[in-house]
Amino acid sequence: MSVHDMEVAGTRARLTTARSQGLVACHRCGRVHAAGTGRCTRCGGAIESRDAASLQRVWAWLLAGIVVYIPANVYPMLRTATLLDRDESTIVGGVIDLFQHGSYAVAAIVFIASVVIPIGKFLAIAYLALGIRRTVVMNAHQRHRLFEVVEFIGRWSMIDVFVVAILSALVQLGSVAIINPGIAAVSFALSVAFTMLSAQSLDPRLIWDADEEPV
Amino acid sequence: MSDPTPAEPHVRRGAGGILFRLSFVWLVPVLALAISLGVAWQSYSERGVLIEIAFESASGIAADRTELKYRDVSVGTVEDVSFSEDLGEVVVAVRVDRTLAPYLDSDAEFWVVQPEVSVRGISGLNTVLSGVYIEGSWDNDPGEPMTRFTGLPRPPLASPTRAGTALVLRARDGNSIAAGAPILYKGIPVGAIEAPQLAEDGDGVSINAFVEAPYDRLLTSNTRFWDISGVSVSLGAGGVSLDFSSLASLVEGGISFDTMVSGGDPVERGQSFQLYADQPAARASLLTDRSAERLRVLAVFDGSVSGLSQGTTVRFQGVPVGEVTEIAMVAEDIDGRKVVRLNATLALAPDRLGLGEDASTQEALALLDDYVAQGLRARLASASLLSSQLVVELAEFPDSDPAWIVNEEGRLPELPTAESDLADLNATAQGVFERINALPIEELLASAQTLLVSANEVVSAEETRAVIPELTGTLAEARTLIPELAATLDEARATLTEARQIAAELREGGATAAVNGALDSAANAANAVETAAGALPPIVARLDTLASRTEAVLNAYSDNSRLINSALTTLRDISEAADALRGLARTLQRNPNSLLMGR
Repeated sequence: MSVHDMEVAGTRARLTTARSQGLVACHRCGRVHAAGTGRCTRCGGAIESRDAASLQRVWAWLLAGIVVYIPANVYPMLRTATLLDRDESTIVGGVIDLFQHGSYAVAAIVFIASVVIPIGKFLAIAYLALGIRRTVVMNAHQRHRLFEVVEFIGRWSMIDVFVVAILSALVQLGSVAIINPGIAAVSFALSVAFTMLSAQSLDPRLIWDADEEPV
Repeated sequence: MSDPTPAEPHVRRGAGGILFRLSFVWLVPVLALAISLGVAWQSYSERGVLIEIAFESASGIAADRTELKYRDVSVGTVEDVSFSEDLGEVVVAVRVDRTLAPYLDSDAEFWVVQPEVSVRGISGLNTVLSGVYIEGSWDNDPGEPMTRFTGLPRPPLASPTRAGTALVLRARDGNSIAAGAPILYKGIPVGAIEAPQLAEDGDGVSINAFVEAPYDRLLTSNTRFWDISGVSVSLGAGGVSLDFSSLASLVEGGISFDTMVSGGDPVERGQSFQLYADQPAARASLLTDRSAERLRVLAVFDGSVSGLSQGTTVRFQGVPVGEVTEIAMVAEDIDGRKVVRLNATLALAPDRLGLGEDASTQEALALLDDYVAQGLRARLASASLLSSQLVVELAEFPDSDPAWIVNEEGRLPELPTAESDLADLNATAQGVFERINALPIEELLASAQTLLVSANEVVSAEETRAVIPELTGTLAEARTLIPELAATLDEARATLTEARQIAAELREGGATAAVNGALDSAANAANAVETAAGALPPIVARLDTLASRTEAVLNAYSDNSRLINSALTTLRDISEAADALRGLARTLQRNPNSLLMGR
């Protein structure tokens, strides 16, 4: 079924789901079993038609991600000590500094990677999670694509953390210049990890259930 | 192909109750929240105390960058730099380590450490790279914590973290002393001073000084400080000597000290010392400027006291024992006549009178009473023969009328005084010198010497003896005369030498006794000159005869030879010598005393 067909189908008629056909797919290896099978015959993983606790976990991880995102912005990300100066910069402070020094491109990259994407992910996941229970503007297909984008982009949010990690490892020049990660680096990494887990916890099949006839 | 019947899903119902359906994942956000809150609370609780320090200017102080250091350890950071309400000061808000807050009480001091280049070297070099920082100093006693402080414009010398002793130096002016000038002990810097400040009463300046440990152990109450600023040039027997201590003291001024007398009390923090102009003054102060209580007595002098002033030295047996502190004119009735007398108040140091260091003024007065019973009197004396400067001398006159210290209630004890006949001494002595200098003794001696030389030439010449036998007798006579003349001249010369010695003695002599002796021997010398002069006329007469006889002989041999010429010259010399001797003899004979008395 092409994407176009799906879209057309999604708008026009009820989808034919695996569950309605009495089938259940293994979440891990993708093998389709007859409904009622408890374990995958191929990989031995537990088979569930729908993950009942999915939404709970999404919300829990998301909340954790948001909570640790606050110190990630309040505390310094980098502690730079050079012969002349000692500096502690937060994420937003660093962006402003870069912007003031004229490095608009770098400022934009850091701002997008550290602020826009994480916050966008929070919003997207919250939107998806809400959309499972309620009627929202985007249809199921669009929401599924959004989900895939969130999953894909999640790992790239770590770019900030990698920069800090590499700088800290490289710049250890005794009293001349030292860069150390701040508390924010840890919380930011945790925040990214929690949002990734949150996105992973979302059972995308739930997105489609709203369009389905009640079982 | 029939449609397969969809399998019925196996549905497991969840356990009942909302608690059982809760996922354990909820622990994660709870934990994250707890940890975040914990971190936040910890940061907040460890956040230091905000204090405000007011500076006149905040050169180089930047928010979030400038540190507050205590013993060179960072204990806080500047959070904010703002102005006071009247824009008169810069208020620097500093977040100080919480553990140090209790120590920030009223004795805490703050100043900005900046790089400073001075004559003594460069300080605060580390701040060139790191930027300025605020240095704090406080003692280790927790007190009532304060949050508002006033910063010092310069680093204080005596901070509680520096071991040493703070002192206050009093000086007449702050001319040659700059802030930060070193205090040297035997040329080694052991401390420094702050900028001189005008004393509260406007009389002189006070200078806060600090002597570092362990050198402050050298300080006692007997320590004297003096100024070693600038260059001193002195001209003496050893030539010109140029003296300055160090380049720093040349430019900034400097202070040296020494403890010249042992046995002083240990100094306390903030003790006050006098700053003397130079080392001799500091040394002299040990004699007159004792901190011990002085015995104040009154001495009433008649007649002129020109030359007596406040600060005039009081001498006892030639040693300074005190000074005149006050001179007052008092009108008195004596036998119905109004007489103005001069009351001089003398301050005497008891320990200089021969008593111990701890002697009280009462003991000193009792001792003085005993001395007075033995004939001690106060009198005015010349400080030196050639100046009009006076000193008050406590001299003993064993033959004087009995007197005692008048000790009335409400008045100072009055010391009996003795007459001092100083009035004409200066004029007399000066006259003696002038007259001695005016005597034509030098010319006389010079012409007498020429005479002897010429006479010898004539006598020893071969021709004289060979060609003119008649002359021989005359020459023989002259020969006998010459030693006699020589002896006379020797005598005159000895007299002159003696007169010179007297003159020198008179010039150098300081005490009246010496002057009397000198005058006596001058009188002796005059007598000797007189005797010598008495011997002169016969010699002159004989010289005259000799000259006329020689002339007669020479005229007989009217030969214009070289010999005759020289003989004639000799004769002229002899005549001149005779004239000069005659003049001297006349002067002396007329009035030998004029040599001494000038009248």
